[in-house]
Amino acid sequence: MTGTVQSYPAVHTYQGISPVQDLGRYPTVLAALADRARHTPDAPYLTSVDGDGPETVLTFGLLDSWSGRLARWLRREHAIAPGDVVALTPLNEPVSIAVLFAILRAGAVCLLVNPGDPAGRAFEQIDSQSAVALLVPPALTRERDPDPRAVIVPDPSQLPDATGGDLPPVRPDTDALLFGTSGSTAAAKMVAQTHRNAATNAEAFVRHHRMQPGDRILGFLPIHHANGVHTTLLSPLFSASHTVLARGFSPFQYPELVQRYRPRLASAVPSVLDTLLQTWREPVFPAEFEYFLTAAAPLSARTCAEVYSKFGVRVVQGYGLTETTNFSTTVPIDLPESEYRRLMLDTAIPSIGTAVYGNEVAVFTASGERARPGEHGEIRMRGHNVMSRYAGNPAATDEAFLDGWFHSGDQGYEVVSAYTPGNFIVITGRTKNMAKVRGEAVSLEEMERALLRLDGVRDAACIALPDPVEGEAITAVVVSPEVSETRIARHLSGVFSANALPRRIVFADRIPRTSTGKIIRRQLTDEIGTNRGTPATPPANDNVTEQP
Amino acid sequence: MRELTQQVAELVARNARAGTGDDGADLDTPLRDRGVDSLTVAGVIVDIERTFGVRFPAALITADTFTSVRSVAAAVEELTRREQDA
Repeated sequence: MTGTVQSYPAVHTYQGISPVQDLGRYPTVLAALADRARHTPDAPYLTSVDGDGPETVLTFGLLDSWSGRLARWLRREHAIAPGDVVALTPLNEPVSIAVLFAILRAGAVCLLVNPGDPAGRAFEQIDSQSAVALLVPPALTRERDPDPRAVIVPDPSQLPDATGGDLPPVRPDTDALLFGTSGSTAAAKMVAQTHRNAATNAEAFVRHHRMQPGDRILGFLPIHHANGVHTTLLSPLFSASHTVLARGFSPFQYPELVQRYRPRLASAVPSVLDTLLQTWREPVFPAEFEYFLTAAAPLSARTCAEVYSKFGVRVVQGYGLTETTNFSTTVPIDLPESEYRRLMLDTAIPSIGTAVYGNEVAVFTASGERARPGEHGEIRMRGHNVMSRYAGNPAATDEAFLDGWFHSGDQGYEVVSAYTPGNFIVITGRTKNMAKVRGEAVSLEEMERALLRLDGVRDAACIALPDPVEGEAITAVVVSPEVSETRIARHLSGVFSANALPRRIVFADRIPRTSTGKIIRRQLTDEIGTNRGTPATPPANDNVTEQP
Repeated sequence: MRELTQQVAELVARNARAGTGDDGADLDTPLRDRGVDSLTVAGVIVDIERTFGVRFPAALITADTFTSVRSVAAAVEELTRREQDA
């Protein structure tokens, strides 16, 4: 389980500080929770808002109590031992949150699985990590029948206190969380984050945003993602801030949430800001509101400028990969107007900001040298927030950690600013053959393979096109004389979560490929992209498509 | 009204995800089941405003308005009538 930090000391060192030294005010988020529960048990930790339903307030004391009871239940009823992997399909609601902490307090590692994943995809991840149990919150069973292998989490308010013995100590260098990435296959690259990773990220978040006790942060991003877990669930423990967490995003509910809960900042993604720009009529922000924090997908200068002019608030862009816990960079929150304008508004690509505490970020040229400001290259990171490894995949870990830096695969350049000690970073290109749909990374190659598995599909290629709603939307180009759009969509929905599915399915006579068989994506994008405003034209029935 | 409803249905289909909701959907089928969700509904709103030359006031940007093709068509009908009366 551990030992990988020692195996890769360089990539886990921050400005010369050894990877075994704590950088944060607490060594783990569990130590922070214990401290909150002792000193301010009645202060609100998280208010959960479910649609038009009632809100539920979890205080620090209640989170401590519920997660302690559930941790003992895990040990007593399911013999969960330190180091075990326990899978969880969480929803944005209190029992899911409590049981996530319970898994950590039992000394186990929590594998976060998208509750929207088809069962096959979910169990591919669960089995690859030899998870000993899959926990499902009761709220999810109200939406659909759970898998027969799943364990339904009991209501923590009905569980006894403090039976089941003491909970084990949890060391900072042990694994805390596992997240699948949308790499070549769902299970191939499983990111392992340690307790120290989480503590470093929480410390960096609190410092960067100058979070104070009681500061409210409004969120809705799903807590099966790294961003949802770290930004809305773990960081508040370090600052005693208060998260308001909606079950999901709704353009009909969001304006009221801002009015009712008066957050200081709101966590969002660019596609949601675009939606709000179109649907929020007569926007009024409470005096407390300072800015939107966006990540997960590139923010366009147009979106940033429209939020600034129509809503009168700033967008603070951040950037990070699950491999770097959550945030590697964020735009400073107190930039002077002229500098914000230069880097975020009067520019082709808004900056992702400067490196946050605990990690170093740098651009390297193709020859492996540190790039000069303005010179393009690959963005790399090192520090205490870099994952311990890809679990069960040492080859991928070695490749990602080559030369003592984590290789993001993203391209960009540095910009000098007189207002910050570190350089700003601008991203010019993302990892190839990946789409960013609503902030979710989707492998185009994985989708192509899934399409080719469908009988009757002769060839297929997927492209990501800019989309005002989703950031990027996938168009699947399919060569098939007999398979209908509906059947293709149904097939894909058995492999991918709903968000990842293609927005359009287009039928074509051929896929442009090189002599070695590689898809010529640029040509395909040119051919398809020109008429992307109209829906796909499927065969009139299941067996009519002209062949060349 | 029928023509307006048909146009609304087409605009909804244009914003829906590929391969969803095209079998067995009727005027009362929830927009979500027709492949329109919390983000893509923005496209429906913009398309309808462009097509019919109306603007939904804040009070009509609600889940009730955007429940189904029928409810959207009724709102558009009402807005069109208001603008004609004005």
